[in-house]
Amino acid sequence: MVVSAPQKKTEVVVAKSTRPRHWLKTLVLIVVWQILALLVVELVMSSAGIGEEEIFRLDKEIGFTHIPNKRIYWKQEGPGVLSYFDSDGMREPNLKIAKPAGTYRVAVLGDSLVEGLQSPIEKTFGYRVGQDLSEKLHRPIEVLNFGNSGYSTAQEYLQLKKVWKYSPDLVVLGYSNRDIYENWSPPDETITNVRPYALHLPGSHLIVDNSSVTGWMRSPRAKFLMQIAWIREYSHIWGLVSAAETQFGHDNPIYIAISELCTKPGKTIRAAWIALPKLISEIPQNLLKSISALSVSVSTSPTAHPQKSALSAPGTHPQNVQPSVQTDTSAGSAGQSAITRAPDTIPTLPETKGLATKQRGVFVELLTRTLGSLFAEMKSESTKHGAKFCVVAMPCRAALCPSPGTSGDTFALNYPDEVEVVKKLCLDHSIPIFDSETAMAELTPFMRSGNFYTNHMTPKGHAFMAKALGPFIEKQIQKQPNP
Amino acid sequence: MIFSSIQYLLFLPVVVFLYWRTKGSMRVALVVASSYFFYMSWLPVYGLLLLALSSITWLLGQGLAKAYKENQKTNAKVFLTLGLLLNLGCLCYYKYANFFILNTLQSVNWLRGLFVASQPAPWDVPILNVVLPLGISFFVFEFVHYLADIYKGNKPINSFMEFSAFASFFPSQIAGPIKRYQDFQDKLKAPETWSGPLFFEASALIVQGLFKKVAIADPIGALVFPAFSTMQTLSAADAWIASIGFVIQVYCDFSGYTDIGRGSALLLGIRLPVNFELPYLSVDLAEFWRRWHMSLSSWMRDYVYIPLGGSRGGTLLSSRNLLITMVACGFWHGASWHYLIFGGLHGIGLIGNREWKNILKRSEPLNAALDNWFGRGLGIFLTLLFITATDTVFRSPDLPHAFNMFSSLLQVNAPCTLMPAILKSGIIQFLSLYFSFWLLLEFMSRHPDKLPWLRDSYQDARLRFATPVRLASWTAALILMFAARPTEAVPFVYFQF
Repeated sequence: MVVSAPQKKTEVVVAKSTRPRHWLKTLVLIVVWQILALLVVELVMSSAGIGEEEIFRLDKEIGFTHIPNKRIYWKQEGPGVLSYFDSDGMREPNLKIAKPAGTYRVAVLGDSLVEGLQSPIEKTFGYRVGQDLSEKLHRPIEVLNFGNSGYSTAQEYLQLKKVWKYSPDLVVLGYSNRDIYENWSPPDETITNVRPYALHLPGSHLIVDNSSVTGWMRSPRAKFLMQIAWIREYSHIWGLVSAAETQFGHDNPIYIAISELCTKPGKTIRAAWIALPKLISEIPQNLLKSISALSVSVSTSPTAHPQKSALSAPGTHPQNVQPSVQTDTSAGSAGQSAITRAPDTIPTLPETKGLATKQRGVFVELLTRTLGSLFAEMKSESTKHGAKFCVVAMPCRAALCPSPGTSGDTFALNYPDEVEVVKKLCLDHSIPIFDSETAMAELTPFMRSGNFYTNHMTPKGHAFMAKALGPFIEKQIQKQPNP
Repeated sequence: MIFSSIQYLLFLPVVVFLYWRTKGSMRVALVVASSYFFYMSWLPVYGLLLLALSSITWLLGQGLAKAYKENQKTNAKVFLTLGLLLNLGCLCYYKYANFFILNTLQSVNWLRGLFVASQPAPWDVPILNVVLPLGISFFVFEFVHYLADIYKGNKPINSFMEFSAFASFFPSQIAGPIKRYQDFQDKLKAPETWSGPLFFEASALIVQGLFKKVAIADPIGALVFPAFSTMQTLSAADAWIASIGFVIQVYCDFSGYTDIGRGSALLLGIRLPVNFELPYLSVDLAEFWRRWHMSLSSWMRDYVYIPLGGSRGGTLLSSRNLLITMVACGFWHGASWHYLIFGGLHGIGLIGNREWKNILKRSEPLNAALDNWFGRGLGIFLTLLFITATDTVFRSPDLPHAFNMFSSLLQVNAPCTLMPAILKSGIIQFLSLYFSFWLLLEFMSRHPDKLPWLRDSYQDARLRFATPVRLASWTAALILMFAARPTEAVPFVYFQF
């Protein structure tokens, strides 16, 4: 008895002193094992080609560009397509900057519709046109794809600096739905919405100003993205995050919460702590709501409010519901063009409706003038570099909304109207234009839907587009003397 | 609500939290309420069907128990017959009515064509517009077991609330395991106590099940779907890939579901029966059915095979019983001829398997020649081959599609189109990773003294890894699941049954 007492005491003392050390060891082990797990995941994903969907890096002048020397596996629409961006961010295999002798080069500029990551480069409309015309005209014709998801006309104008390196003979600008608004759209959280401003005020010159981009570069979000630039380029796990960003946009509350926690952890945790009592107090109310929602779904026939029920049903494809409000997810439309919201904030009460319409009219007129001036500048630049300039109105799956929560006709300008505006601008500036939207619109809805995934063209759509566009490009080539 | 959906992953923690904050009848009421919420989130009106069937079955069970106690055999038989008619009638109406109407009228039209001289216009087939209630095949079987066991003299569940909890228990409601009420009642009354090891064991089961479902079964399902849907002849390679793919898919899907269900139940302190025990490593077909969907196999044995006479009465009678049981098992999966044929093939396979065992018993040299690793390997291979062939019948939407798959096996010179898609999907990597992890788990179970750096010296026997290792495996699993996730939650294969 006497012997055992001090022994017990010693054991207790030892146990107490080793406890913190034990926890520290566990913590270190947790960190080490987590890193190991992440490495294994990177290895598995790398061998499977998963998580290769981060394609942009920030650029102080133009907003963002393709990451060079990057393999990507685009899975967001369609069955998944492997592509590779070369050291200049171009997709064409074995492309040389110097134009080979005797080759006629066409540079196609545009946004994600031109970029066509949903199809292999050999099946995109530009590449097909090049192949078809080479065969037909018995001379090498190269069509280079300068498409870049989310690019506005102003960015395409700034991109010309890169285009001239390739000495094109013809510059084709692919005009897509909503481009007119994107020339004046302040950046938000989405990288593809970081764009320079372009504005042509009456009695002034066209201004293309990248202060919006440089200003955004100072935001916490941009700093965070720049700090993890290496991870963004090489990590497959980050590729998943990037794909989720594109898919969910920045309107998704869960995504916003996670994003804020990463960029401003202290502030976010404090805000969450303050909001917690309110959230808890709302639980019973929300529970009742969900129960009443259940009873409503019993009593309400789905056919009674087809649009409402279809919109609210999880997983319902928007194309079957209301094509006019479909958003371009690949271009990060969920958080798009805040400036286009500005006129929309004007209340639409009866007494102010006239004012709102007038202001919207002024706004659209301003954007139209800006677009026309960008066209003129691009034409002038092209002429300076010995190239011809033309515009192609790209086909569109559905009229996109100018900003989230607004209808497609917020500015009384749906896509066919937009194309008419573009056609008029081209006529004013003597720029040849091809309207592929009208060509596609002549198809039956069934055939037309086969040409698109959610928003972007399928290889079949690209083939259709190539067939429709071919004669127009051929005409432009024949107007120019052989180089 | 699908187990692999975000809604379920939000629903479960709330239920678990409330469950451990309540006690006694309140706790049972919570299980019932949450189970009905879970069930009604799919189609609310079928909650009423479940309630009505549960109530009547419970009342009949009470009457049956009273009749048994008072030795009124006729009354007991009446109650049992009523209960069976009601439950199996419901199952037949929702699941088989259209099948019977269609086939009866097609037969009648055919006979009229034979016997009437002037070719009459065939009668139109009226199709009933019914939606199969989720999980009806499972809870009806549980009700049949409940009534049959009381008829045999077991005590009924006296509390209606407890019976409702048994009838509607959300972790096993939609696709099993088919529970036994005696076992469930004991666990409901005295669940395992909440502890760290319990939480980790349950969560590991859920993560494992989710991984099998989301990262393996769903991507394979998307790949094999076109092959089973087409009537165009496939290449032999594609037909093999699709058939083997489905064998892997159905195991990962169903056992994944069971893992999530068992994990969810374990979070409530209730240990549901094991439903799979590495069935694809069975050396013969009889062993396969003892290790595959074990709760259904044992139900079929207890409530179909044995009541039919079991293995009593000689080879012929027991073969007949086996065939009937397996055809019923096949037909339980769905109202279609290909399910019937699937069951029939397994019945024939089991009869052949038994006869082969008899031959082995009689022939000592043959038995000795095969009682080694080669014999076991051959057994596993042949069993898997049989399962692959019958699963092809099972998966095909109808018999012509199944025949198309089999005839495609002859197209050896046609090019393989599925392999590039498989290589791009990451399935091989995910499957290899899961298999390696499983091998590690098995190794650690068999050799507790090996790899000490992977476990804590003082850890609970229920846990195989040390906490840092476990958390790391979960991190990897969650990221890979996110990587492989489909755009929408895909229903489990066994939901349709």
